[in-house]
This record gives sequence, structure tokens and C-alpha cells, in this order.
Amino acid sequence: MIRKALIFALVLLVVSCRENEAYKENLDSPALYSGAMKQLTDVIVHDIFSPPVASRIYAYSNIAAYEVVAIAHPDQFVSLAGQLNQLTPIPKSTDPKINYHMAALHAFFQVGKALIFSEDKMQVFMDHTYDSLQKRGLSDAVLEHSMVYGDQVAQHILQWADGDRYKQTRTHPKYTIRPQPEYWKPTPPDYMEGIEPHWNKIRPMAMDSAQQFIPIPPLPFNLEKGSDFYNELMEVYEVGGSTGNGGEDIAKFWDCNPYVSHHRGHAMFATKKITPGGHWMEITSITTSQAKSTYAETIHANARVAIALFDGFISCWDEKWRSVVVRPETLINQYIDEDWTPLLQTPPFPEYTSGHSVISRAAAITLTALYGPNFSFEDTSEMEYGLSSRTFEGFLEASQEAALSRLYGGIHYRMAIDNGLDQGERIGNYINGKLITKKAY
Amino acid sequence: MKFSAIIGLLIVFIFGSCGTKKEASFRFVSVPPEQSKINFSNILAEEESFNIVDYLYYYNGGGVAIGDINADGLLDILFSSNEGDNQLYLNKGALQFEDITELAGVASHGKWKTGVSMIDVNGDQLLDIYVCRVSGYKGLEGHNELYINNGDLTFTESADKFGLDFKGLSTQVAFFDMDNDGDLDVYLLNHAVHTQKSHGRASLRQDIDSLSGDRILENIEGKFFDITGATGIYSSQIGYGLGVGLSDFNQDGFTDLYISNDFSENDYLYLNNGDKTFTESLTKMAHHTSRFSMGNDIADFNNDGLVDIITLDMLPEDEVVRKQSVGEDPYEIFKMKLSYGYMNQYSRNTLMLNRGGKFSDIAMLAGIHATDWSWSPLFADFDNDGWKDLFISNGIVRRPNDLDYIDFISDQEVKANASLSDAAFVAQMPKGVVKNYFYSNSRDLSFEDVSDSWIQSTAKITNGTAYADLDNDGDLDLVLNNLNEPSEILQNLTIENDTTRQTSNFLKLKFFSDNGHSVLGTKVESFAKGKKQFHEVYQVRGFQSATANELLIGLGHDGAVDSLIIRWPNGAIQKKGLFKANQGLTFSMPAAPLYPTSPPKKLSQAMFKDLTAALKIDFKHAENSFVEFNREPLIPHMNSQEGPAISVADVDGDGRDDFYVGGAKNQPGRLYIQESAGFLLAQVFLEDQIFEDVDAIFFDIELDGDLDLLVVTGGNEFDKNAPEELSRIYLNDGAGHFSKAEGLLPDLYETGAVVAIYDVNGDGYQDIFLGRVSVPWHYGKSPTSHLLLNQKGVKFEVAPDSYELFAEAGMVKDALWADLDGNGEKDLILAALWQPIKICYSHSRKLSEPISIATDKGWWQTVEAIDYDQDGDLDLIAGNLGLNSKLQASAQEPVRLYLRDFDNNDRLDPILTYYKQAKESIFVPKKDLTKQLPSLKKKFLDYKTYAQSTPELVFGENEWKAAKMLEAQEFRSGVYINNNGQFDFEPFDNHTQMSMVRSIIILDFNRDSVPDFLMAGNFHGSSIEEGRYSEDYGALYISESRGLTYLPNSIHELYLEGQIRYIEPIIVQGKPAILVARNNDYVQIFGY
Repeated sequence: MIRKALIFALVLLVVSCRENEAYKENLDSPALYSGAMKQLTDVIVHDIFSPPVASRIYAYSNIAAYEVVAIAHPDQFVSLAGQLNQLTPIPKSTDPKINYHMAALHAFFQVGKALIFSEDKMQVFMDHTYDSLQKRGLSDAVLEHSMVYGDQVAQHILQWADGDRYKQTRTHPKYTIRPQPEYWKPTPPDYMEGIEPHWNKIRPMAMDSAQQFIPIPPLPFNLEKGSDFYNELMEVYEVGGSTGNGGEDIAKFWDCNPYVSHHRGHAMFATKKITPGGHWMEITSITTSQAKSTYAETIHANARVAIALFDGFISCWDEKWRSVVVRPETLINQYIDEDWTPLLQTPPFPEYTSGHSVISRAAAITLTALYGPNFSFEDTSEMEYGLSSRTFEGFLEASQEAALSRLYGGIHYRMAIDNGLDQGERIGNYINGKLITKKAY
Repeated sequence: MKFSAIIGLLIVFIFGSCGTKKEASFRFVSVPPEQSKINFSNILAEEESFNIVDYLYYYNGGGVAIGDINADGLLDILFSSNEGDNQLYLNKGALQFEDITELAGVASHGKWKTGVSMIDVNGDQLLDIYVCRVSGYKGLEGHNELYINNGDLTFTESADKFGLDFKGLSTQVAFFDMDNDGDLDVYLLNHAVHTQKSHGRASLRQDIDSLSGDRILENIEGKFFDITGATGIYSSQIGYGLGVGLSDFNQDGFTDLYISNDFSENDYLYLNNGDKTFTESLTKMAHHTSRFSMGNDIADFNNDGLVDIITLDMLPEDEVVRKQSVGEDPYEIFKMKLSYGYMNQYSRNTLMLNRGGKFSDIAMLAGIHATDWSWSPLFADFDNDGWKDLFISNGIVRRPNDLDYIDFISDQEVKANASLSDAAFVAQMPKGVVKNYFYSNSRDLSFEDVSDSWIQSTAKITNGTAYADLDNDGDLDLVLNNLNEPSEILQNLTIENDTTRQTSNFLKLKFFSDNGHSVLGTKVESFAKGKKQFHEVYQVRGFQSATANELLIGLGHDGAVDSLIIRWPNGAIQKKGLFKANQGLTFSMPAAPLYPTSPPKKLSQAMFKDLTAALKIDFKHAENSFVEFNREPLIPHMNSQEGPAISVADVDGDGRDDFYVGGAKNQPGRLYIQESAGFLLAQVFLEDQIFEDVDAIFFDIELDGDLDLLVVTGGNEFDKNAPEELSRIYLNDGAGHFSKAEGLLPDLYETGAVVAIYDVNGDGYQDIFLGRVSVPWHYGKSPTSHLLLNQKGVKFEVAPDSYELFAEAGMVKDALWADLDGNGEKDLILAALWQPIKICYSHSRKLSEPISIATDKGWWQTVEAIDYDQDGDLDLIAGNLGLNSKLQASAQEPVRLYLRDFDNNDRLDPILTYYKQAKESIFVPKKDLTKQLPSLKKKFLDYKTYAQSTPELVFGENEWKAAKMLEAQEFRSGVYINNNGQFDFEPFDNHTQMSMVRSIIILDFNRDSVPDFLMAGNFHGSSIEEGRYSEDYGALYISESRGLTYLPNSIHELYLEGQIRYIEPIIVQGKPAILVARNNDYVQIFGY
């Protein structure tokens, strides 16, 4: 009797679920995934991850999601297993109750959660998301089965991530400051230690090594008036100072400094923003939304951009800690003007090449390949930080401006921008050529 | 009338009796405002237009000035208020006061007032009032004010007339007679505010700044003239002056100055040249200072006749607060800031003990280095026992250095509201209300925290403070200027509680010139039953405050002072006495000097003579820049700065001592041959310069009649069995020429520390003990030390039982062969880190297992054998870390190192812990910990939760328990007395615990045929959080009738500076001398 009643109830439930499948709309639109991305970005900002480490979080979490949708849509997508260094195929499942879009989302959450610190902030958001999906008809069973599979995928990806030498590099030697004037020194106001001097030991995704795209060497250090180096230093002095020079809007828009330290009176405090990589993840969200990409396409775009960012940072950091070029602020304060401050706060790592230039161009090349060279968009990423949106005729234009912003910000010489863009372009093109993800490619 | 008087009496009686009954055990009681009638509170409005965000010293509070303005024999009080009115209180007796501010006209309306003083500026024998102000900054107006006393309890502001109307950022004024011409000159202490340059090069101190720079004004016929530029003092925008102290440091009769500066800039010690110029001398007299230096005080606290200095900082004693607050800079950043031209500075209080022209900071040994956000230190004998105690005021409204605030809270605030008000922004900072500290002088260079037993202590914010005998009962009361709550009088009940009137005797002294003016800068030595005290009478002390111009000397049980020696500022010296205790005395300065102005006669006699230059020794050890913390950031100290190696012997057989000195990596070792006129560089071991030499010994390896050389390689830099880790042997050709002999030593890698030779097996050939200190990259792992047997001069082989014997020897620092059991065979004694001293007894030509001579594990550095108690057997002197460290260890509360790969990345994570407030606590800052173990941030992203967690909670109980653990329970250096093979530890007294002891040499320095000994050390390879161990100048123990006795450096005048690694005896030109090898510094030679 009881059993009968139970079966009846279950049948009712199944029937009612069938009737309410509104959640599937969510699981087919880019908004859900982009929302989850935004939450990940917010936690990254809160937890204070440096730009290279942030790029690692974006990469693994998005690849986890992508590998699931690649399985779900074999007609459209190709797995990255065997294409990315040491990535093996994720486990497959024959469980019919799995909703693969749901599983992809769950894998994304689980990997993201493992790599950030404030897990509770992700968990609350995740629970809330799942709740609302259930309110829109997602059944317990489908949710559970999708989660089980998502967990398996997350485990697989995290195990792969565990082999990228991130853990080992935590105990690699710190940078020993070199006294010669041409080498990087910590900068005011906080004189933070140099960030990630061994990031080039992290296993790249698509590149065969961190040294695959070494940019041309920086200009020889020379403080004699009229030398190329001196001229570039003076250019920063003239256009990049805190007093303003016309480029402030651009500089501030692309600041993307995750930890800006302030000293006011006796008060010290930090303001935190998205990283350069985070900015491009947001541009990706804007793009997928504007292009009305499918859920799967959205994840695909996110994964491709995240991979470009990840390898971009490795290549850039490899050069930064090879040439260890001194920041303009250090030289200007020492030799030209003691009271000069750059418009933006100098971030704590060597100057050459400009990280924003490298990764912006690599991301722009990636997005251009997916959405075309004339994809005009309004970049609203910085509005939550009180800045106006900016409009671009295409991704390359945006990356060009991001790169140039470092000169207006007073934190990079022109050489780091030009050669950084070139470096990013080579990385982006290489990855575009190497990784086959779309069947239509 | 009568009735109300009775009521009044009754009230006093009730208050008094209640007070004494309830708080009989307390030395101080806060006098209720109802009784004192003092109703002053320094209240901060925290307005939107002016607050901590606008002005960095918004929370620094006010000051106190004490003096008798109406010459009625009762001391009156002025409180300064930052924003409100200052208040002047007339002392009516019995600790009752009357607010006469309005009548006196000294309210000083408006913001912003800081330091205050009461002193007779115009020479009419009436005390005037000087008030410092912050003006000319962010809309603050006005100028410093001078209130001239009209003699009728009214005052007239006259700063302009006297040339004292400075407009800028003043902290305090110090009136003093700069040139001993009989009038008062002025040092004006000012402070800077942050600019881009605040973080810049130290040479900015040369640039004069009109608002922030300190000033000196000379009194010329009653008017003051700014002569700053000609005086040689710094007057710049990087001087954040928060404390000024006066003293005659070098006892030349002229008043010198100590200036404490907040932030990057050094403190200054200005020696007065006597010609209105000053010479900054601190870098020559001290090794480091407080970093965020606040108030200071100068007095002789250990009764040795030399004035000592205390400066305050903001290191919290509370471990939870410490872990939530910004700490020291990382190693590389610390080094970089030094390269800007600043001296070493650590964020903690410093107590600079005067060793005779050189200072040793012994704040950690004394136990007073961490008193949180501290403002005003006052040395004074609060219990009248003849020893100056210490009071420290404390607290800040909000802690701007709270890490959670900086990293997390402020950002949320800013994001939540872009147009956030300053007030709302600031409101999120955690409060910093803490107790004031009382320390009682323990008479052994240390202090006991009696904060809770001397007063019913409550947490509050107290800034400026001053002491004085306000009720004229013979003990010192305290006046506290509290922030945002009522200020207080702390009545000293020492006399009241001394019912027998025998334990708290005193003398009260006042000093006047021949024409009745008060005199500043008088020096007084008092002698009672052979006990000496030394005092200087200056008014400006502590923070923004000034006490009365009088002196109270506590005498304890002594009912009289046998004599007083008074040194007057005009050079006159008087000897007076005997004086019965418990009375007030007034002295007048003799009109003309009785003796010519000259420093007091030197009692000391130099025992040593520096012969380095005369003997042409110019070797400077150059440590390479390898920073072990960059690859092992969690270790307590580096093992890579242990050189130079040194060994002395006659290598060319001419009867004269020669020596080898080994360099650091990239610096070749050198052989110096002694000739009649000095030393000649005879051989440079260029081809082996890659090796870092840490020990060396000359001995005859092959029994061919000449001395060969073994050099131990250290450095701890190369790893993975690199050939650069190997020790080397050089054979002597008989004429003093050395060539490297390959293959004599087995290939033993890991980082060497020491070699000690002895013919263990009695085959006539010298065998070797080779001690090792470290496995590169693996601090805490036990390296393998070895006994190497000499195979008839052909080669050395590892003794068969060596592995077994020394498997647990640990990180060996020193080894010694000495016959401790008198069986005719020398035993092997080992000193090691995290180990007890151990002995391998030698019996029948075989070594026993190492036996611990005591349970005391220490950071043992060196060991020597001497018959210390002269009972016929050898005792052991053992050098250790000492007590002048944040790390304090005992059997109950050891310092520990936990070793485990907590994050499974194939690298040990060494976690250093110590006990604070009876709880085991992780020593390294969270930022360092999470850099190596980022996963900890998952558990503890915020600092608060982390700070409140035990190590077990941080790492997980099972993980923590599974870790390998090293321990140290004893950090004192001392003697192990040999009592028939039982060793009893006798630690040295605190004079010999100020730093790490690295070398002990036993010699007959005073030529009485009884051995004396000299110990020295210091160590700079410690973490920034620990700070350098640099405060020892060498400790000489001389045999006297009562045994080996410590002789102060000021007596024998040998000051060994720097990191002494070895001291070796050497005969030069037929006379005995010592050769001193110092890390990263010149080799020195001293004859005696």
C-alpha cells in the first residue's frame, strides 16, 4: 500500500517535472553561465589573487565545463584532451539522468571553488542557482545525477591541475633584489615583493614551453639624454603622471589592479578590482550575450579565452623575470623628479613586457577568431567601479587601447606595450591554429 | 561653615578610607574627579573635515606639564587638549585642584595643540607656559604660544615678542641651555606628514622643510633666534619627530639630545659640540632603533652611572593583536630600505643600555619590548626602592594597521558607497584601547610587569603623562592625559602603605642658580651604604609632556644618603652630605666653577690595544649576497653566513705565529705570514674561491714535521652533492707553501661547520671530527657529522662506528676534545642547534655513544673547557642564543620547530612556534606562512580567525601531531659545572645574555696565572621578525678572589663590534694578542 502510494507520488512528480521544463531555457542561454563566471570573478577580487594566479583559476574551471559540453555536443565541439599538455579525456558516463549542461555548470563551480579561498561565497551562490533551477522544474534526480558527473569531471580536471607545478613553485626561491639601476625594484607606496618570479615553471596549456614566444629584448638601459631608452622613460614621465594628460579615462578603465594600496593620513587601505584577465572574461560574457551565443558556445568562448590568458601570462612572466626591467616610477623618482607619481599604482613585478598588452592581444585574437573582426561592443565591465563604459569597433581595437593605457597610466614604457602586443598576437595565433575545438573549424 | 568643613573632611575620610581599604594592595589609586576636581578630557570630535584620514597624528592625544606657577610649594598641572581648551589646575593641597584656566587666560582655543611645558622663559622666577601647535596645515591656524606668568595667576601670550611664535607642525618644545651660558635655548620638535618623498632616500634629511623640520633657537638677550641652519641638525620633511629627550650622554658638560622619529627616518642622537653645533652620532653608538619611534625617556635605570634610553613603538604584547597587525617588512624589502640610507629599525620598544659610549638594545631581555601602541615612557623610582621603574602609556582610538581592515573591510566600504564619508570609513577600523604598563625594576637589567598589581588597571587610551610628588608626601604621583575620557591623577600610595616608614625612604632635591633662577641639567650622584644612583634633572620626558624641575631619590631601607655629588651645568662640582632621609633640600649653584669644566675623571683603563693597522692586516671578509630566506622563508635563521674560517700556527717554522683566513663564496682564503714588522700576505687560494670557508685548522697530517691545513666548507648554498660542498686539505711543503691534496678526505657533502682534531685511536696520527650544521634546502633535517680516522697520513676514512655514533647529532655548530673524566683520554663534546650539549666519552681509545649532559636543548653555538670553579676538573662554558630575543624558551614553554610537508609538494614546511601568554603560537607572520602554504588561506582568509586559532587548528590536529618536532628549552649561555661527571648548569647573568655567543677564548688576560675568558658573538642571519642579534660587545671574565667575574666593557674598554665568529690567541712580536674573525667585516688583532 505504502509502496503504491510512493510510486504514485513519484509518477506525479515526474509528470509535473515534465510539465515544468523552464529551467532548460536557463541551461540553454549564456546568461546563467556568465552569471556564474561573474561570481567567480567577484570571489577572485575579494580573495586578492594576483593576475597570473587568477588566470589559472579561470582556465581550469572553464576547461572543466568545456570538456562536458564537448561530450554533450560531439557534433559541434572537439575535446581538448590530447590537445592541452597532459590533459586526458574526462570520464564518460552512460547515466541517462545527466543533464550535461547542468553537469558542465557544476564542474565549473567545483573546480572554481577548489581554486579560490572563500569557498562559502561560491557555495552560497551555487546553492541559490540550483534552487532557482529547481524552482523552474529541474528535478532532484537530474540535478543529483548531473552533480555526480560534474564532480567526477571536476576531480579529473583538478588532478590534472595538480600536476602543473603550482604547488611546487610556492616554495621556489623569492627574487633577490639586484642593486644595479637597470633591474626591477619594489615600488611605492607599499614596496611589495615581486609577484610570481617562477611562473614560467607552470605547465603551459597549449604552448610547448614558457619560452616559445620570447619577445625581442628590451631597449638597452641607458640614461643618457637622447638614447632610445631615455626617450621612452621621458615619454612616460610626460604622459603618465598623476597630474593628468588626456589619457586618464583610458588608463583608469584598463587599470585592472587587483590590489591598490592607499595611504591617507594614518589610514591604510586597499581597493580591489578585477585583474586584466578578469576584464577579458567579462568582455567574453558581454560578447556571448550580445551574439546570443548558445550555452555551449558561451562555455566554448570562455574556455578558449581563458586558455589564451593562461599561456599569455606564462609567456609574459617568463620575460618579466628574465629581463627584470626597472619600472619607470623608480627611475623617474631617482633621476628626474622625486615628487612624480604615476597615474596608476605601479604593480609589483618587473616592467617588460606589459602583461595587459600580452594577454589582451592574445584574448582579442581568440575572440576575433570566434566572433569576427568587426564585432563592435560596449564594454561595461568597469561600471561597477564607478567608471563609464567604452565602445569598441572590435576586439583588436580594445586590446590596442588596453595596451596603450599602461603608458597613460605611467607604469610601462612604450617598448613593453608594442612588443607585448606582438608577443600576445603570436601566442593568440599559435593557440588558434593549434587547438581544434569546433567541428566547423 | 564649620558644618560643611566637617562634611568635607568626612568625604575625604570616606573616600580615603574606602580607597585604602579596597585597594590596599595597589601601589597606585586613581583619584576620583569628585575629589581631585579635575574635569579634563581630551575629546576628539572626528569631524568630517578633520580626522585620521586628513591628519595622520589625529589620535596622538595631548600632553601634561607640571610646575609650581604660584610658588606655594604645590605643583600645578596643565593639560593640553587637541581640539578643546587646554586646562590649568592650581594645586590646593591634599590632591585637590582648582580649574583656573579662565582666570589665567591659557585656554589656547581651537585646534590643534600638542606638547606643553612649564618653565621660566623670561627669567623672572615665575614659571611660564609654552604650548605647541599644529598650524599652517589643512586649515589649522595659529602658532606656538608662550604664556608669560604675570605673577597673579594670570598669563599674557607673548610668543611673538620672544620670537617663539613658530607656525608649523610642532610636537614638543625642549628648553635647554645649549651653550651653558646661563640662559635657556630651544629645541623645537616638529613632525612631517606623508608625501611621495616620505618613502624616498634618506639623504632627503639634508633638505630643510619650513613646516616639518626640527628647529634650534638661540636665546640672545631674552629673545629667540632661529639658528637651525648653523647647528648641523636635520630639519627635513622626513623627520616625523615624536619624542625629544635631553641628557649629557658623553658627560662633557653639554646637554645632548635624543630625537625619536616615526616611520622610515632614523632616530637622532645629537652630541653637543659645545659651540652651538651638534653631531648626529646614533649610527656610531647603536645598531638599530625602534621603527615607528614614539616618546622616549633617558635615565640611568641600572645604577651604573651611565644614562640609558628607552624609545617606544607599537608592537602588541597580545599575540592575537600582533597577528592581525601589519608586521615587519619582508627580508628583501627591509634590505632595500636600508640601501636608501636608513639604519636598522624594528617595530618594537628599544631599551638602550649605555655600555660606555656604545649602546646595547636589551628591551627583549628586559621584557619590555612589546607594549602595544605606546606613547609615553617614564623612568622613575615609583616604589622608592632606589631603582628606577618604568611606566608606559598606551592605546589608540582605532588601529589603522589592522590587516583585515586594510585587505578586506576598507574595500567593501569603498565599494558599497563611492562617496563614503571619512567618518564612516574610519569607523570600521578596530579599536585599540589597551592598558597602561607599570614595570618594576628587577635590578638585573630586567623588569617585572606589575601593571595589574600596582594599579587596578583598566583599558583606556593614555597619551602624554608626567610624574611629580603632587601631595608632597615623598613618592611620585602620575598625571595621565587620557583620550576621549577623563584624565586622571594616579596617587602613589607607597609612603601611605609603608606603615613602618622604613622601606620607602626618600630625598627631594631642588636646584637653583645663585640668583634664584631654577637650573636645568644638574647631575646628581647619590651614595647610600655603597649604593650609587645617578640622576639628571631635565623636565621634558615621555611624550608631549614635561615634569617639574625637581628630583626625588628613592632610598629604600636606607635612612640617609652618605653623600651627594652635584655636577652643576656651569661646571661646578660639589660634594655634600650626609643627609638624613625623608626631607626636601634646596641647593644653589656656586657662582663660579669650583673646578674647570671637564668630563669626570676616567675610572677605566684600556686593557686592549688595537694593533690591526700597525701589523698591516687588511682582510675584510665579504659575505656573498645569498639570502637563504628567499628559498626557505619560514626558517628562524640562515646557516649560510658562518665564516670566516681562521687558524693560527707557525707554518714556516720561523718561531712566529702565522694565520690562515678563509673567505665567503667568491672570496679566496689567504695565508698571512708574520715577519718582524707585521704580517705579509703570502698565499691567496684563488683557485678555490668558490668554496665558503667556515672553519680551519693547522695540524700535521702525515707526521712529516710541518703543519698542514684543513678547511671546512660551509655556505649552505650548493646542494645535490655539488663538489663545492666538500671540505679541503692543503699540504705544507715544509716552508709554509700549501698545495691542495685531492683524495685525502672522503666525499662528504652537506654543510660543514667545525673541525676538531685528536688522535682518538692512539696510533700517533691526528684524527678528525667533522661537524655539520645543515642539509641545504632542508633546515631542521639532521646532517651527518663524522669521525674520520687518519690512515697514517695517506687518507682519512670514516670511522666504522661513525654513522651510528652521530646519526642523531643534529645540526652541529661546534665540537671540542677535552678530558672531562680525567682518564687521560680526551672526550668529544658537541654543541648543536635544538639539542642538549652532548659528550662522547673516550675510553680505551673508543668513543661512547653521545650522552646528553643535561636535558636543556638549546641553540648551542660553541663550547669551551675550563676549570671554572677551580676544583681540579674541567667545566664547560657553553655559548647559546642568549635572552635578548623575541624567542624565549623554558622547560615548560619551549620554542619548537615542527617539520612536515603539510601541503604534499615534496618540501618540508618548518613551522616555528613559541609561547606567548601561556599559549603555543606560530611565530612567523601569516603572510609568510600562506606564501609557502596557500591552501591555509582556504581555512583562514581573514587574519582575525587565524590569530585566534591554535597551531593544531591551523594545520589540523592529526597533521600537527604527525609533524617531526625540534625543541629548545634553554637559550641562556652559561657554565656546566662538572661535579664528578654530573653537570650542573649555572647561567651567566644578564650582562652576558644580550646576544648570541659564538666564540669563547680562555687566556690569562690579567697575567695572574689563572685563566680568564672572553666571549663574543652576534648574529645577523636571523629573520626580520626576530631581528639581528647585534647587541654584545664581548664579555670578559677575569679571575678574582671571588672567582671569575664579569668586567664591564666600560672598564676594560674593549668593544668588539659586528659578528664575531672566532677569536684565536696569537703571539705577535713576542707579545700575546687575540685575532678576531668577523663575518662580513675586517679581521682585527688586539694586544693585551
